[in-house]
Order: sequence, then C-alpha cells, then structure tokens
Amino acid sequence: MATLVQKKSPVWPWIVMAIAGLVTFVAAMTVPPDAVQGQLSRIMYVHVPSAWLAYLSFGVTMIASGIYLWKRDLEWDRRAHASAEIGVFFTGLAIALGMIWGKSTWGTWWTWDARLTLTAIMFFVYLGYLALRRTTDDMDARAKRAAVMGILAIVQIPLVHFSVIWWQTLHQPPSIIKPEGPDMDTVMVLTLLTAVASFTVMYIAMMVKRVELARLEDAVLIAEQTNTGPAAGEAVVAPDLSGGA
Amino acid sequence: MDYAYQWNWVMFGYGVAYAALVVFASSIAVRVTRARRRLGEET
Amino acid sequence: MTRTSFWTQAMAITKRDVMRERRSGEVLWVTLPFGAIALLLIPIAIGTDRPTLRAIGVGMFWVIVMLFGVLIAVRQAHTESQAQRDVVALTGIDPAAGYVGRVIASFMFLIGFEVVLAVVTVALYDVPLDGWAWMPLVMVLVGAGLSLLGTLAASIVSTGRSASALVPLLVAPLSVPLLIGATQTFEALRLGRSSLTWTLMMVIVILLLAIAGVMSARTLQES
Repeated sequence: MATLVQKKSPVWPWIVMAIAGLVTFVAAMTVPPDAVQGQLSRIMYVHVPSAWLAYLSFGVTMIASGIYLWKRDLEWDRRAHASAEIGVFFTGLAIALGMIWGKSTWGTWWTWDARLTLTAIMFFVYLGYLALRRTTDDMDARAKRAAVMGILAIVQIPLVHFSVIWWQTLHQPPSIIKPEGPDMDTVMVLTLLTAVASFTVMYIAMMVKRVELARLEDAVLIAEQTNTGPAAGEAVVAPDLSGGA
Repeated sequence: MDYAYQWNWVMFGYGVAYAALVVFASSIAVRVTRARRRLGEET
Repeated sequence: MTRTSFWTQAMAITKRDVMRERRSGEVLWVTLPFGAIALLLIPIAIGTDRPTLRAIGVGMFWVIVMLFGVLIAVRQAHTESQAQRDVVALTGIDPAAGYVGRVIASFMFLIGFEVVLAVVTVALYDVPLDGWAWMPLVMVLVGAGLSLLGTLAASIVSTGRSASALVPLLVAPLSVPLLIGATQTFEALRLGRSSLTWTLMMVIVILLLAIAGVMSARTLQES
C-alpha cells in the first residue's frame, strides 16, 4: 500500500494545466478572424483540441487495457480508468462546443452529421465503461471486466463510424460547409496546432493527477477491506444484567 | 459582419469550456484531498 | 478419459437455458408482453393517424426489438448466481463453449420475440409489406448480432451491482450498426436500391462480436 500513496501530492500538474489553458486562450483570441466564419471561428480552437483529446484518451484506454490483460498489473488498469474519465469529459465538452458553434453558425443546435452522431454514441459507450467500473469492489475482477470492455468499445468504434457514415451519405449529401477546409490560413493552422499541443500537455497533467486519484481510491478500498473495525460501533452496548434495578 | 453578436457566442463558448475545465480539475482535486483524509483516518 | 466436445458442452448450456425459460417463462410472459405494450404506447403518445404510423412502423419495430431484446440477453445477469457460475466453471466446461451455448439460447428466444412483435407491428401500424421476403434474413442477422452482443455484455457485467440496468446501457450504443443495418435494408428496398451492403455490414458485425466473445470468455470467467 505504501507504493499506492505518494507522500506529497504533486502540485506541478495544476500549474501546467493553468498555463496550457492560458496559452490556448491567448492564441485563440489574438489570431485574426476567419474570412468566412468571422469571429465564430475562434470556437474551433477549443472544439477541435477537445475532440482530439477525446480520441486520444480512448486510444490510451484501449492500449492500457491491453497491457493490463497482458501484464496483469493494476497500475495499467488505473491508467485505463483515468484516461476513460478524462475522455468522457472531453467528449462531452467537444459535443457542447460543437452545438454552440452549430447554433451560432447555421442556427441549429444539432445536425445529424455523421461525426456528431458518432461522437454522441462514443460518449455513451464510455459512460457505460465508467458505470461498469462501479459495479464491483473486487479490484482484479473489475480490472478484467473493464479491460475487455475497453477493448470491445474501440473495436466497435470503426463499425459504428462506417455504419453512420453510410447511413448519412446514402440519404442526404453533406450540406454543411466544413470550416476546417483545406484552404485554411497558415496563421490559423499554426494557432490550431498550438491549441492542440497545449491541450495535449493539459491531458498529460490531468492524467498525472487522475492516476494519483485512482491509486488513492484503491488504497482506500484496500484499507476498508482489510481494516474490519467494529460492526456497529456506538450502536452496540453491553447487555444490562442488573435486571432493571 | 455583426461582430458584437459573434463575440457573444465566442465568449459563451469559451465560458462554457473553461468553466467545465475548472469544475473537472477541481473535482479531481477534491476527490484526491478526500481520499487522503480518509487514509489518514484509517491508519 | 473422454473429453466432451466443444459443441456438446455448448448444447448442454443451451439446454439448461431453455429449461430455465420453460420453468420461469420470463421471456414469454414478461419481456414479450413488455415489448408489445411499448408498441402500443407509441401511437398513443404521437397520434394515431394512419400515414404517420405507416411511416414509422418499421423503424419503431426495430428500435423496440433492440431495446427490449437486450432484456432477453440480460436474463443471465440476474438469474445466475455467483455460486452457479462457480459450479459451471468447476465442471470444466470451456468458457467459450459456455458463451456460445448462452448465445444460441438467447438467439432462439430473440427470433421468437421478433416474430411475435412483427405480427403486432403489422397489425397496429398497418405497415406496408414491401420487401417482406428479406424479413427472415434480417431477423436472423439482428437476432444473432443482438444475442452475441447482449451475452458478451452480460458476461462483462457479470453479477455486479445494478447489473440488469447496466447491460442495456452497454449494449444500446454498440447496437447502432445493427439498427442501421436492419432499418436501411428496408429503406434501400423501398427506394429500389440494393441492400447487399447493409447485409454485409451486419455479417461483419456478427463475426467480430463472435470473435470478441469467444476470445474474452476465459478472461471473464476468471474475474
């Protein structure tokens, strides 16, 4: 258990997260507006990195799940868990920003665009993954089941992806102008790359903290399971043998 | 182009994004603190 | 020493599930009426004019099959106790054979479920019967895919807390390719296009799920 708990909780990830957030914000606010989209193009600099992190996180979850099944080291299970939670967060954020962008640009919160539909499905798949992890306190059983789910989820993603794309293209041709077209300005590309890079750094810092949390949660679980303590505590009193006198 | 209207949307988007980031990071921080406190009590 | 073959073991598990269903009647008397009621509730909520019902009938049928059919695969999550699982594991039955056996049982129940609900849908929604000849094939594909996916999800969740609610949550988003495949087959037929792509897609989904289920069976039994 000593290995699970670090003496001091590292502070540097918080600082890194704050700097990464700040860099993205400054870059996004100072870049010149897009010729067609105007100021609205600025939303892209948080939307695209969020979507990127969603995919990255779920990729890391799959790889960590695979390594866990191979090595049976719970540390990899914690990494898979941490990454999945961060991934669900960024998937939700990417969807929310996509909706805000959609509403502001073409006046509707939701379009049945293939990518949007896929992202929404992915969100629920990994929500299920997180829910699955809550069903048992047996750490090894939990890790094995979650690892199978973590891999199954990724295996299904391409199938869902293609089915949704075919479903869309056979009916309504894409009517939306994709803002990140090939004819993007160099400054905008550089800004976008900066935002993606700083969000990736933010992801790493978040992983450090989230894995630390996973270790602590496991340590609490072990402490609870080994430290039996009193069954009912204060509720149990010695029997009164005086006969009520 | 109506810039003021566009800036409102941009600010709304960034407000949502950064508020969410702060809430998520704080939730990790709170859970870390709580777990450490519980471990302190247990041992 | 004689070793029972993979299929003998699988069939033994199937027989056990069928016998259990004969005793409890859960699929026949609970899940099936529940699905039929759902088909009855939808028109009450959205209005009963004939053109609307005709237009949504086929789609509603498949949605109900997906959402309620999952409950058939969930059975094992709450009917099989951990002790029963341990006994089955101790008898030395190949975990993969156990998976296949459960899938076959669920598949048979799902086919029955689909047939009855199809009759209910035709009666209540007055759906056009275009392309009905494809119906058996699509029903078999959806039944196979859903039983593979549902049984896999049920063994992942095992007997954990809130298992019977969690399995549908895991299955629903991953059943999207099956749902799209089933509905688009009939959409393609209605528009006079080839539906072969959709059939192929469902076959690929089924193959992939079968491989995933068989490969993960041992790992999941250990947990």
